Amino acid sequence: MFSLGYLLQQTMNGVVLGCIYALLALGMTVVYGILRLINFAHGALITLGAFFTYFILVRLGIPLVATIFLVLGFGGLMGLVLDIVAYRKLRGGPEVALLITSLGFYTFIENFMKMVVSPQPYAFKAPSYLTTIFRTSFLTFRTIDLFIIGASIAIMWCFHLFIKKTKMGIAMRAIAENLEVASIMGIEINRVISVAFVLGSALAAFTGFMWGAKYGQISYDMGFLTGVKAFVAVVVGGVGSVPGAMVGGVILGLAEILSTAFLPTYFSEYRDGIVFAILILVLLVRPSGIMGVKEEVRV
Amino acid sequence: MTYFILEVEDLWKSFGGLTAVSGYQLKLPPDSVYGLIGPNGAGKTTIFNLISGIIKPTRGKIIFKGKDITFWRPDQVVALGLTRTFQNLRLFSSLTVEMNLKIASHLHARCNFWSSLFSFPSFFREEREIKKRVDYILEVFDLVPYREEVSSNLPYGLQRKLDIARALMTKPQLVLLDEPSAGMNTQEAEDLAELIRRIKEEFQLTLIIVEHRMSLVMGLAEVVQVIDYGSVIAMGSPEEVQNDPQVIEAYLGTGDVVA
Repeated sequence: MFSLGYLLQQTMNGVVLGCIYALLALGMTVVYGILRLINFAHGALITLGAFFTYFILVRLGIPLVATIFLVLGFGGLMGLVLDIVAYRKLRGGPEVALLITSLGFYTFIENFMKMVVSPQPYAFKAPSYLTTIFRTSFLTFRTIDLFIIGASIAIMWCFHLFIKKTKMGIAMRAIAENLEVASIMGIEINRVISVAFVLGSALAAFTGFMWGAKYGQISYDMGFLTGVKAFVAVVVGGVGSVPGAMVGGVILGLAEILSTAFLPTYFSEYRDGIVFAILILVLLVRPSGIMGVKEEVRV
Repeated sequence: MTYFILEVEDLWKSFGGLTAVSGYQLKLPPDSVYGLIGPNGAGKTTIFNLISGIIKPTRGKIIFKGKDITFWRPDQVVALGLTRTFQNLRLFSSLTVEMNLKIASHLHARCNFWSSLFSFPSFFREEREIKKRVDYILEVFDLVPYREEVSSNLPYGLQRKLDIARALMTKPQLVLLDEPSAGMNTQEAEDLAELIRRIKEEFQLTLIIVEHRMSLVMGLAEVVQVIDYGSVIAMGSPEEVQNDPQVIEAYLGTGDVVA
């Protein structure tokens, strides 16, 4: 029963899910690195992005390429609004105030969505060119799987270049190290933080689209657990580390799928629990995550 | 009327019930070196924080190069040519010496994501300019061999030097040095004094130095201000200040004065 083909198939499924987690974790880890904020509202952007694409791609039938740009723009805009409305005024205050605000915004958006789109899940009927099935001797997959993997690799590569090479990326790293000194070096803090929110939120909205197209079902509360798992990916990979977020995301996706695939069916209901068990195990062995560095206590 | 590069008028700052700075005044002529001394907790660092824009005053006015910068953000103040170093070292500790310097040149870099992604000519031109300045500063500070070293691995004295070097990457005209010799031994402090003299000439800087080490302040500063309880209690040449009875009481204590 557990043939090589089966293993390959499940590994691919795991990688696809892992890519989604990784993209979410990317946005979260950057915001956390800069502001020490666990941005729960990040999860809400998944829901918003999913419904946004549902309405423009599935209902209005806007072409895929245009949809991609629109959903990225929409997510970015939402991120900017969130930063300006919710977080900007709280900077310099206690970190827990930011945390509670983000939780509040998540709850607000979730309930708002519940009111607008109804508590019923929606069937996300992706256009047929996304759901074409390919069968090979080992693997069966759809266009969307290739799309997710390809897009994720491209995005992660761009993001890596962005953080390493560009002025803005270097500014982000400087702020993550020390906000005050970064401002004395001539870096405009608020602008850089806004950019981090815009990028992270655009990615989150984009993963909402991926999620809908891949799993075919979206609902007003889809962002919560996904968002929390993305944060687990951040912690497993090493908080604040960009490569760590990617690795953490993929590990988490693989673990979730492979555990369901290879453990007796009795365990499959515990797939979310397994994710958190992995978190605990990793933290027991490496308290700062797989690629994290030990963080100094900031005075 | 004489021109002052920095004028501070009647500066006040209170934190809740504590008044840290009360009516601080300064008229700083260009190309001068001023020393700022005073007992611990006298408000020296708060004055630096206020001037550099990290915190905002309760009352008062700060004018730099004729512009009222009282409520400017730190990055705007730096852009106008005023920067500072920190009493407790705050390097970007996980980055290399070179990166620490490069970040500080951020301000003068204009290239965006796309031009660096696709390596436009303007990107290379800008990179070359930044590299030239990095080379030059490393040279002046004798840090060339440590270029690729992660800054937290440097010996303490060199980290101090790097802190000043980084400040100079922003092309300032006025630099506030907050206890540059803290934690150094006598020999290192003497070398530092020499270095400060050299960079002042080389970069045509105006300096304000907060320092506890009397020999350093007295050797470098043309004018010394003594701060106690947030305001100036004495001001004059190092010799005058040292002999001021009020200063002796507030700062040096009673008894024999050792310079």
